[in-house]
Amino acid sequence: MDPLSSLTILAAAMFAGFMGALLGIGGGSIMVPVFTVTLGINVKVAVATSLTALIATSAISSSVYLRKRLVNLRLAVVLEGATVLGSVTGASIAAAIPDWAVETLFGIVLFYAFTVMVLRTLRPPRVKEAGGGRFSYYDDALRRVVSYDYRNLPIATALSFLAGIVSGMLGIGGGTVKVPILDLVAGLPMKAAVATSSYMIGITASGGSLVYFFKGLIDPHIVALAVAGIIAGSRLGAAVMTKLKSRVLRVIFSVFLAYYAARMIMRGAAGWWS
Amino acid sequence: MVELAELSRVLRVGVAAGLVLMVVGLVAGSNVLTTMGVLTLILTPAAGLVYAALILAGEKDGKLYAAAALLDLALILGTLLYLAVIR
Repeated sequence: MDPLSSLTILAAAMFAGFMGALLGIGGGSIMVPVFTVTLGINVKVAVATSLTALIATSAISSSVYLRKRLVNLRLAVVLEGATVLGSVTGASIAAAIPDWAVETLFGIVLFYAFTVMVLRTLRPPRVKEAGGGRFSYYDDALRRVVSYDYRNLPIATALSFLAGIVSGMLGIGGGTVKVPILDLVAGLPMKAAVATSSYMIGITASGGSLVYFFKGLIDPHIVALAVAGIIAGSRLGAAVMTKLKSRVLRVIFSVFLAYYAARMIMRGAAGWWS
Repeated sequence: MVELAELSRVLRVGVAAGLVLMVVGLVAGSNVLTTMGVLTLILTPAAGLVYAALILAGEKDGKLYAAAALLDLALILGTLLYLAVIR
């Protein structure tokens, strides 16, 4: 690989990590479309790279959350059985179907992420008042211990399997798929949902990445650059996060998502047509 | 007794080891080292699950959850075994 291509991949991964840290999402929904549409990397290689890079971002962010006791380890290990199965299934499906189908599906999921982003910008999520329960953490912002319990475990498990399929097929996870399940279905307070999702996505990605690895879709050079870039970018993003207005960022990112969603669907349609 | 901090450390060390192997492999032009780095990274959450199981096994009413963590680990290692050896 020539130095210019290496630098471009590194820069794109840094951008994904930077934006991901600023917006509180994983870098997958940024990395895959940028790699595919802008850099011309095969969509399955981009998905495999993103999924493997997610392991690194998950490990780094969840190590902080684990120390703060925000991760609900019990719920995570129960749901992960279904999610890992889903991830392996999703990766196997993605490896078997044509590129245009993966691109089209990715475009559709990006439109979903775009809708969620717009709704969150227009109506920020309310802070959930947690009742008494078996689990607790200290909330720095509220300056008190928040206690809670989880609910709807069978539904959350079934949805986690579907979330695993989406993660395995498209190389995305946390913010778009898992957090809503943990927050809205399992009833976790948002901070616990984000932390638990952050820990879970690494395990989920591990199963799917193995499939891509043995299918020969992981390019170690691209993965090395992507992991290094996304870690550097997310550290930079976390450092400047407090200085930027999140509402403005969300509007910019919504436009980004809509553009890449349309481009991915157009690529998929063109691939299907030809 | 295993603490959450140790699980946190295992995850960070796993990622760091994987990244160092990948970068050294890239610089030295060694595909073997780079591939080993990728595999180290991919299997880091599996190592974390061992620690998660130990943490949960030490907690009150945690045995069942520890078994769930081991089941997750078995799924990942089973996938690895199936793809690498059987298939």
